[in-house]
Amino acid sequence: MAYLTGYQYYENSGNTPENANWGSYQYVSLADIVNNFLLMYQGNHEIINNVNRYKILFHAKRAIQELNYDAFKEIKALELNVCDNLRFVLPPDYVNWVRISVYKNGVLFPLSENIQINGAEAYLQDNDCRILFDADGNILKPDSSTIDMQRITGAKKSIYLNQNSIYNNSEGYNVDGQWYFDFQIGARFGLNTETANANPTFRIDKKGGVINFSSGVAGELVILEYVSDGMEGGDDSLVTVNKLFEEYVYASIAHDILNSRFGIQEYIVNRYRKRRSALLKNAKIRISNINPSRLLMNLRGRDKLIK
Amino acid sequence: MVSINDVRETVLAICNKNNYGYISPDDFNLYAKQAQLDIFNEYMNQYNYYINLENQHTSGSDLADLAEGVREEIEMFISGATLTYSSLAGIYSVFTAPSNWYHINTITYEVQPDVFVEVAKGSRLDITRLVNSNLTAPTETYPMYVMGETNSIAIVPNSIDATANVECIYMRYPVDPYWGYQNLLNGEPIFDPSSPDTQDFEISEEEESRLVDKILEKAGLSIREPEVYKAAQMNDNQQQ
Repeated sequence: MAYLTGYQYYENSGNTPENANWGSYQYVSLADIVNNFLLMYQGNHEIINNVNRYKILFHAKRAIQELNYDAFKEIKALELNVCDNLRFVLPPDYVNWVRISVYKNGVLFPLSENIQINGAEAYLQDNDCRILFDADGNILKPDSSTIDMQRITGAKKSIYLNQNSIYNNSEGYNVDGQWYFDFQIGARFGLNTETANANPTFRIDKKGGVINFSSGVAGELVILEYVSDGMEGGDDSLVTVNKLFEEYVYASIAHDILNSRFGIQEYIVNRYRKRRSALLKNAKIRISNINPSRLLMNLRGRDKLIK
Repeated sequence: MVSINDVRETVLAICNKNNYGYISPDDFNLYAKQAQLDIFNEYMNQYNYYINLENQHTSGSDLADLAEGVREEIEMFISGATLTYSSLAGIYSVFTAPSNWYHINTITYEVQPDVFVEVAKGSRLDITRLVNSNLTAPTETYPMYVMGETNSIAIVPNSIDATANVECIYMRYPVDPYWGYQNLLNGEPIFDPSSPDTQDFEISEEEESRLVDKILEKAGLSIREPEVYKAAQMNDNQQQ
């Protein structure tokens, strides 16, 4: 890909969108990766020879996917309003979540993932608890299970210390500043820090493709931070790699091809494996942006007195 | 280029002792075509052999770069053509391949003015799996082609059609040599260099002696003259 002039970079040569090229110099395109690999790492005088372009493309994309899962640190964020069904449908390029927050009063409140399930599928049953079927032998199912319905209506209690806590609105006895409740069986010793959070909770139904929230999220703005696989919805022309990882991608393609080929000596495969691993470590360090001034900022707080 | 008249005169001088081994122009043209094709086909094997020598570090550089020499011979036959759109067939856009191709090197299409995207070669045996794979399915950024029947080239995706300016860089077969002649004069055909049918050999001049030997091999078989055949074959083998 040719270098851009200033006019092309800042104003996209007068075309829309104007910002199409902003920041593009950080990245190298998949097309360049594949083309450069074919030119430089594959040929009559190279270890890799007679390899089809689609194989290089496959391994390049796989390397980029793996990088997107963690090393790139390219976190996408999506803001959606959660309605009364307490459901946030996962975005089409979602692979894994990083953080989910409620945006309220100008402040982000990070939510905790509920350690208990908050939804379930249900089957219809008769009075003898026998499962009901339709004429075709398929199991009959209700629209919502009891646990789902109660979560949506706000009737479901929570082990978290939020508005649905089992202690909220319950009658108890205050003895010497400590609350005691009738329904608690057994003694409680201290606080369960895992569930000591006043914010609503969520749980991700991966197969269902939704995030189910507890009832406190209804009507709130939720921001999902997540990672994708960098495949840009199948548009190969948009797939890019940060230049800090360019050499790693070449090494990864070379290793993956050699590793799956018949007759390649083990020492060659190992050499490429080590090269790939070393380049990944280098790139991760580089992209972490660890620099002295930032460390200094952190270390300035080390002697601060905690009152 | 090797002059076809020089080769014919040499062949006749060796073969036509006492008017015993005369070769008619038509026979000569047949042998000449086959001899040129034999040498042309050997180029690829030679190139492969020399590349292997280079990879074993038993071949030199500059004047000793044997592979480069053969590559130059081969590159004389590299040609280019714009492919003609033929039809739409399912997921394929079908184009007509050049009639004289020996090996398709590169196919490209113009994605925007002066920007070309390479269309990679695929196998008809694999194309269904490739199309069904998320990561390898041919796209306008990474299109593929397969060779079809009846000299056709089928490109996936089919959005690359007649408007796409599809071009092909390919290695062609050499043009058939032809010793054009005028009507017999005193029993001898006379070479006619101005005849539109006259065509010299396209392979390089350093191959002239091998051309002569190969034609003599075939002529020796034709006139049932084992000495001519054996001598020519021995010379040919020594030169390889």
